[in-house]
Amino acid sequence: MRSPRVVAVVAIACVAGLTGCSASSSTPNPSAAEWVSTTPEGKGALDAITWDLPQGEPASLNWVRTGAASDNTVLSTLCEGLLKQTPDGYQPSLAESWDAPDDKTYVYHLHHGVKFTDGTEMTADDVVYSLATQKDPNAGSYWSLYFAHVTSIEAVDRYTVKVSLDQPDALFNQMMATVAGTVVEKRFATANAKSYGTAEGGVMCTGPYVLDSWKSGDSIVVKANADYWDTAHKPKIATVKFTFITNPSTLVQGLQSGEIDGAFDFPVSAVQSLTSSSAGTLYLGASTKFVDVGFSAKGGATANPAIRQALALALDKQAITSSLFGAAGKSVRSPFFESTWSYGADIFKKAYNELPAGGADLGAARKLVKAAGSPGETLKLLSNADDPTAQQLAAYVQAQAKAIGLKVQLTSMPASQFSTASFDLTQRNQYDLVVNTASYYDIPDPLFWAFGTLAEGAPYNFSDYKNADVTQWTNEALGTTVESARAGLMAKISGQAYGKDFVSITIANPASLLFMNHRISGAPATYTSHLYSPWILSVGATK
Amino acid sequence: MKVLGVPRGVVVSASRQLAGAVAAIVLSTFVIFGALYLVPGDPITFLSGGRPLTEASRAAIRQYYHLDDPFFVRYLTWLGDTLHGDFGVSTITRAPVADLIGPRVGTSVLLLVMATVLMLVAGVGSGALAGVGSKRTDAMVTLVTSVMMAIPPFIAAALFIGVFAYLLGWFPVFGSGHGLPDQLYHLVLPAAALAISSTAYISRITRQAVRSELASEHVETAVLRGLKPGVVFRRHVMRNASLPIFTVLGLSVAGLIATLVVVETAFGLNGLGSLLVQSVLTKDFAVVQAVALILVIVFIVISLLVDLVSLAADPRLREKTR
Repeated sequence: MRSPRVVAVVAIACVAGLTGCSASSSTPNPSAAEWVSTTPEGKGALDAITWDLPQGEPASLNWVRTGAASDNTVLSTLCEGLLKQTPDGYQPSLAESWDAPDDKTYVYHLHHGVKFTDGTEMTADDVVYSLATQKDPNAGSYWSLYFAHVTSIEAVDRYTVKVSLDQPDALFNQMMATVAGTVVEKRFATANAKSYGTAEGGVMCTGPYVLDSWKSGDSIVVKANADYWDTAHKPKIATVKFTFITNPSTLVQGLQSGEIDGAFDFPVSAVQSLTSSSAGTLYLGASTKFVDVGFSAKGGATANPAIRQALALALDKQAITSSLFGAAGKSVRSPFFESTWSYGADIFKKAYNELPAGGADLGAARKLVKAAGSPGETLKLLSNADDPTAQQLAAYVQAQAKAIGLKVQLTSMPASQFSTASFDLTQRNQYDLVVNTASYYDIPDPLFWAFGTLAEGAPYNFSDYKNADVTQWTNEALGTTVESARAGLMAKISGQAYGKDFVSITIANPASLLFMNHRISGAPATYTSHLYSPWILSVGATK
Repeated sequence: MKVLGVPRGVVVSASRQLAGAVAAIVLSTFVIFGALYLVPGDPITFLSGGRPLTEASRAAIRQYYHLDDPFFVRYLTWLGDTLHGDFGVSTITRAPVADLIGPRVGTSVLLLVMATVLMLVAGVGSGALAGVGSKRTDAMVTLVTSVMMAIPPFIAAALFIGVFAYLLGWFPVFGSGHGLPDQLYHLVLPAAALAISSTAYISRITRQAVRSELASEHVETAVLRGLKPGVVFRRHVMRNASLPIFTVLGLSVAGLIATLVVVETAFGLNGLGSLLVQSVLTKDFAVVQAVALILVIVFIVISLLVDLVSLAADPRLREKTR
């Protein structure tokens, strides 16, 4: 193990070189530990810890408008949903059980005696209000897409909620294990409609922690809820202070010096110094995040599946993944990779293994380009200038394309502009290729991705991919609540969209990153557990 | 002729400066507003974590964040509110802008003041030393300032955090602290990172000014008259050298305002600079405008002060404007 002194010097040198050095020194130590899902149990009580949010200050804690990772990491300590996602999969949360009398109806049976943090009991009315607000088109919810098939949400009795759909929707119940299923107190939220979820207005939920203070630009402090309803899981830490350090080198020094106790999802450039840290332990966890090269509906050479296949063949996925992430990333064949198989794993595995593994075959790629008439046009590639991973991958794509006779020109935009341009059709269609490093599944189901991107007219079908079979299978899968049947349909989609049509080129599945110093332990290591479950409950003192 | 005991030339010149400053402030708010308006794209993708949205909710969200309001409506509303002393409400966090800015002004001002003191003490001190000292002292100071001048603030920040906060543990890694003594302690490294290259520059200017004064006739005369070296240095060298030093100091302080953004982000300080970065990212017009307005005003006021002090200190400048 390296001494902390050397590590610090390396970290300093890395920052000094800034982007230039990221190629070599950001590559994490390949001998790092295996990917895990949980960390050693947090046993003892502690007065206070400091936890950083590397993506910066949350914009909102309003349940219809918390979208980014920072928002949800904090919100999940304060508010709970009907279901939750833990390293063990979907678990009951505010709903102690649920059933589906038919495939267009879900009935949620709520826990009795759940109290909001003002002491009021949670009832079915609060649940109905919380879900109906997500569906309300005027509320401007980030989650409304998943309520599209909901026709009614009603309270059957004080502790039972019935949701009716106009067609079977295999995603709906799973989405109840995200912020979409969050329950807030109706009375409080309607009385404070304007300020709800802001620093001034606060929140009113059932979670294990209560918002204590929110100093814009400085910190959010949450305190343990002494009357937390779930008596089997008591908070072990009295006060948690969330800080907003985004600068990777400052964050690393803060973790090393013990001023910050832990953090999730820091930039991959921090991985190497934290791997060898003597201050604490770095955990790499299973995640639903992935990195891919996408196409647009611009037309031209990339509209030809043969050219897309040639590009896929030109990329050595293992080599570039190892160079980008080291042990903190796995190369993958399609967006339907292992962490998304929450059901039908055998079926998914078979379909996945039928796809090309992604070792470079430049000879075959060149042949495909020639057979397609060697298009001479310059392909435009869009990338995020603020993300060293994206920039490295873009440069690699450019070089490999050149090797097979395709000209690629790189455009880099600052993060804010990039995220808009890559999601806005008009802007995106000015580019042929886009490097995406920020995609992830909210719920572990390949259908989640197919529904959003592959069907005709899907909101994120950016390449205007039209395959009647895939569209039909996707819609059919959405209506198929029997999991083995749904997995069968997804397997067919996998073969067509990623095996034949090369809708996108999925490169890697980056690990979920977690660092905790030696004082604390217990946080879940999987992505998305810290977004959609009261993760803070499992954190405690090491001894 | 004098107005209220001040020479007329100074009054005319000062009022011209003042009018120019006000025009510059109004113009800059318009330019900043326009620039932010013209930046392509909207912040919804960023805020929603890139989640797919239905058209109806996208429209509702755009309305909620006032993203579709016409340019002049927004600008004039903002200008009107601001003239009434109301900075409005952040479009993203929904907090009153004054509440967002209030706690951060202190951090940024304290940081600027500490950096200025550092520039004054270390910069002028080392420059004067190099000016009057031996060849060896001069060479040493020149070497050190050459290195300092070449260090950009973000590197200085990383270096200071690594060495003084992490390895030696003398200072905290990040944060602004609570209560004045704690704040001063927290801001030592940021102030040093902020001031490092300007300090070196001030040192150079001071050395040059001291050298040229030492070689001037009036200093030689003073020495020949048998005045004590200390008196010559204070009255004849430093007093005359102070004009260029002060001018450069003023401009450097004004220049530091732009660097605030970098240093505050690196040290995780809740200052105006970090607020500006965050607000530009989310296209939070109200906040960007208010912060930019404050920074522009501070910049202009400092420049104005430099001009006025120069006018007051140097009779030759007054003659020109008469």
